Amino acid sequence: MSAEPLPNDLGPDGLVVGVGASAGGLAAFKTFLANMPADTGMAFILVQHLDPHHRSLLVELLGAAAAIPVLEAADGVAIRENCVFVIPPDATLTIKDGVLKVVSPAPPRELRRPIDTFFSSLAEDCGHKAVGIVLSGVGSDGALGVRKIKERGGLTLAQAESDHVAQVGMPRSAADTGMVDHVVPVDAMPGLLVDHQQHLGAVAEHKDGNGLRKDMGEHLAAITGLLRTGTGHDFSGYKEGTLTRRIQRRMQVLRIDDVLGYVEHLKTDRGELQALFQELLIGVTQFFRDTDAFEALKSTALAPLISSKAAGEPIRIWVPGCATGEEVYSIAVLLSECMTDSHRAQSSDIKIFGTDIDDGAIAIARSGSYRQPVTGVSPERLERWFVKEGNDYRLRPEVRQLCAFSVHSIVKNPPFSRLDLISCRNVLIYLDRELQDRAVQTFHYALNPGGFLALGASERITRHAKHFALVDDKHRIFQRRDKGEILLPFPKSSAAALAPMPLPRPTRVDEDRIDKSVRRVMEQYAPAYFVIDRQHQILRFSGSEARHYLEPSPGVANLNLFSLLQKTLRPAVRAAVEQAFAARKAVVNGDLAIQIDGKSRPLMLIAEPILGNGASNLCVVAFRDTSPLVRAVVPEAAPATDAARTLGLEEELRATKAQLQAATDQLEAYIEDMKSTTEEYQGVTEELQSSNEELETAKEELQSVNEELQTINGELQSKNDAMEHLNSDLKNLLDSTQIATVFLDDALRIKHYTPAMEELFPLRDADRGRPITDVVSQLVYDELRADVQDVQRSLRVVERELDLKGGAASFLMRIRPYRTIHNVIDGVVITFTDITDNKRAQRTRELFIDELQHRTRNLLAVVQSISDATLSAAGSLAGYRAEFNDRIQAIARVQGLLSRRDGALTLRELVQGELAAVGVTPGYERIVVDGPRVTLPHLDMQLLALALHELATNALKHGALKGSRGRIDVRWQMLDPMNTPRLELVWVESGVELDEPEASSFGRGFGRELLELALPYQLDATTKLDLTQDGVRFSAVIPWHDDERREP
Amino acid sequence: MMASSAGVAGRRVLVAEDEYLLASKMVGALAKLGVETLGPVGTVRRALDLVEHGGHLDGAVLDVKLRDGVVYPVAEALRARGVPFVFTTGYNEHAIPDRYKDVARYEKPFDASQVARALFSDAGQAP
Repeated sequence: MSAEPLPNDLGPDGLVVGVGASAGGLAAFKTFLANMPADTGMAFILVQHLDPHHRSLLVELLGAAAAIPVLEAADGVAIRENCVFVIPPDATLTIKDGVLKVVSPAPPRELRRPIDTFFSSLAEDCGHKAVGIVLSGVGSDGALGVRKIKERGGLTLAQAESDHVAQVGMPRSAADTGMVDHVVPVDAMPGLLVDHQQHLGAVAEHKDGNGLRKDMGEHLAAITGLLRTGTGHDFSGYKEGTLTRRIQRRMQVLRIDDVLGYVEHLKTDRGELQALFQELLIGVTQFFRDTDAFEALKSTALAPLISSKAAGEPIRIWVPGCATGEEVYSIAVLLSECMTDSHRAQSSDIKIFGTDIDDGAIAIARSGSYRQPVTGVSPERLERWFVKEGNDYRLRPEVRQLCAFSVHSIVKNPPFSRLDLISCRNVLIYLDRELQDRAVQTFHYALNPGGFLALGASERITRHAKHFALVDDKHRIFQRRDKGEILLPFPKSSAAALAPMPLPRPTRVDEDRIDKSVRRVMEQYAPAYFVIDRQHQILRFSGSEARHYLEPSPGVANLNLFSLLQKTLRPAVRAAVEQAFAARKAVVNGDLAIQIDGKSRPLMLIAEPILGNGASNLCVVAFRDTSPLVRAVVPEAAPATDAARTLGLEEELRATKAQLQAATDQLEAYIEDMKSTTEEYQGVTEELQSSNEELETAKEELQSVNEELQTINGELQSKNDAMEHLNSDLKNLLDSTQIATVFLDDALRIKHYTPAMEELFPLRDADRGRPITDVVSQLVYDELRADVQDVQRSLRVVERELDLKGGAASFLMRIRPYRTIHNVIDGVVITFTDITDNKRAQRTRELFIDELQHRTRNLLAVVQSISDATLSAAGSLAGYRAEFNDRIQAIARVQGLLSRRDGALTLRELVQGELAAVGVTPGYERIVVDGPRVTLPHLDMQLLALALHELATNALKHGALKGSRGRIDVRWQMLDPMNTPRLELVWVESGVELDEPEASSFGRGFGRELLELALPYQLDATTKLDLTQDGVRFSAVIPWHDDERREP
Repeated sequence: MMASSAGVAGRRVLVAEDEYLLASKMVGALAKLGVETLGPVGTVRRALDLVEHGGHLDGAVLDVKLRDGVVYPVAEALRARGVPFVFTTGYNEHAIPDRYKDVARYEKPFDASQVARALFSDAGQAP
């Protein structure tokens, strides 16, 4: 368990969450992410079964659904909190010191268990901060991984189908190991993780540097006491650290912060006692675990075994409950070393069988490939017996081939046999007493006399002391005793195999009653006979007379002649039958006798094969009673002489000898048969085993292919959904865009177009697939084909401005190559942007600028003229400056009024502006400004303003404004507005005290020229200027042409 | 080459300019050279009237933009009669149609006497 901080940004309690998923896992993981708060401080690593030849879309798909960043895992990247890392395709992902390791390519399919691999490294790296989650998927990948995580104190979860029942497939396989803490639905997992993290934070202060709670020691005795009474197993001898760690883990799972609270919970909840017991049973599998025990095994069992065997004699070893095979290979290595030590050639007759009920574990064992570091193996052994393959160490073939692995249960399946050693460490402890007994009986049966049995340190078989002798107490090595009753190891279930055989159906024969009677009578005189086949099964009995010759053997009933015949007859009959079958002719033996009713009666034996169709498979065995035919009364046989008797006896002895010889020969033949049959079976069994291994491998491979296909299918499904959305978006975009767009293929055929195109080309849906050149365009444009070819050749964009026929609209056409996502040119895209308004606006802008230019220059020219005129009239430079400034200001004023945007300039404003410039403000009582509202859109206001300026200036200098009594009336009106509209403007001064009228500035000056010449010239006005004694009178009548526009 | 004042005296020149102050200045400048002014006029209509009915013409100073429109119809009429003319204008060069590219153009504000003299130089000759 790593206590030092990891080189990443995870907090001290930040969980590292490994998620394993396969088929169907994508949706599950999306749900998981959707329910996960974004700021938990945890890091997530998703390991999914992926097709190595297929680019994964996981990152895109998940990125769209997740609130936190989703990245593809890359080699050397440190994990980050609130981040999801996803395994890339064709790679093995592991973690070390908080940094991800990615190794490509992935191992071959049959060895590929990416979830187990990652979880194992996660367990090593993060210890109690590791979390392993097994989501939907087929197969058993992840089952070993959760075991490793749990061994190291991490938390394990599996996806529930419903109500804490694990989903079939990977979650079920993981849950079946008993190593999953919670089986819950995906959406409940985030909550559990958050709680778990909080618990870790809460208990952190109680822990020492090794992650062990300091307050646990005082309660250990109480807990082991509870276990002893509850389960019958004593764990008080276990290492304190191990005990503490395992108890802590249960507390983590239950989220009980207080040790005392947990002890209380143990007392009240029997289920928890079992759970803790299971927790304590978790073994750590590694090579040469408990080195002493292996050394002891080597010296006590293996070395003697090898020396006791002649070369070529088989050595058979069985390791039940081998898990992932470390123990099997450890023994194989030891054995190989012993062979080397004793200078014996590797014998092909060594076989080590590794069995386990967990097929996932067996698959790993079978691969013989282990991730580095391979714990427990010394560097010398690693060098000598392993080959490095990428990140893995694989056992050398010579070791690997000694071992055979299969799925097998010691309580359910028939055992292996003729074994020399059984190593069964820490397996019995999982079994209850009855099963333990049965297992030990099985071992006794399976072992050769003198064979060894190795058990785990805490396992005892004292009840079987008469079957096993203790060889090494400390390391629990036993030897099978030769004596003692033979135990029947067969499992209960196999008793069902001994079902009664079906009886032959009796045949019904319809017979005549007379025939029947006659037969009954004749049976008494005819010889009794049996018809038998080659296997000596009786096919026909002659009748009731036959009963004299029968004496059934005790035991299971059968129809074998030699089981039914009187024992005394059996040898003679056997000899005769064999001879008859061999010679294919009748054999007659007249020297027999039979005891019937306590009397000996002479008997003739006839054995004659029934010859038909060339082959004789049947034989008739008949017995003829050769005693004198006396009905019902059998006279006492005359006592024979001694010599005759001796002769008879000798004869009988000879016959008996011959029969014995025949029986012996046959027995030998049977034994030979049996031997070869056994060998045959053995061969078949081994063959079956290896085909089974092959099938397993093939199945694994198919399973993972299937996984991958399902994953791809899931991905494609998601991608398809996304595509559908995109497609829909695209359709809407195309329908709504105002930019006419058409997609053409290489032959200019229309692939797709937007509705806006219909304005330019009269397109209908039916036109898709037709060359666009077939459709008559509304555009003034003939070079489409040439332009498209140009684009296809040069791959650059062609732009043209085109007008609609009739000039109603202008379009900017762009032809660009159509590049597929894979950057292949497939036709062109033509867009038409309506630029009619743009063009119009641009034109207007150009005109405006021209006009501005024109007016500015005109104005400058006017200023220049005014300057010239003022200069020629002025007496002095000072006078010139004052007058010129006034005039420029008058121009400036009118420019200022013109630039106003809030409506048209009125004549009143113009007049008041000029008056204000000479100090007359509105309301000045001697000034009257009166007239209707007249806007001045069309007139050359500059000239009018200048004229008014001259009038006002003159009034100030010489006229009505000079004295204190002068008045000015400015009035205007529209004349004949209906026909020839004219504006009449009248300026009348009165009460002027003129010293000398000539002193008015209107001599032949600039002002007078403006009023009398410029206004008529420029505005077609009729003007009249009178310089009277009372003051200036000026009137102007200006034509008011609406059509005389100043604008071009 | 600039024509001498002696060479141009007595000639008749049409002045078309809608701005009184500029027109009077042009007229003044021409008068100094002894050139007789026809006009000045501020509209296309009157200018055309003078071209057609005003008698002999030796040249014309035409403001491009007159009160009732552009002066080009007048220019065409002058061309048809082989009368040389110059443009005075506030517009930029690009506003002038291509067919008058070779017509001497004086941008406002201009020196009236220079225009008057230039009218009879080679540069001012109509093609």
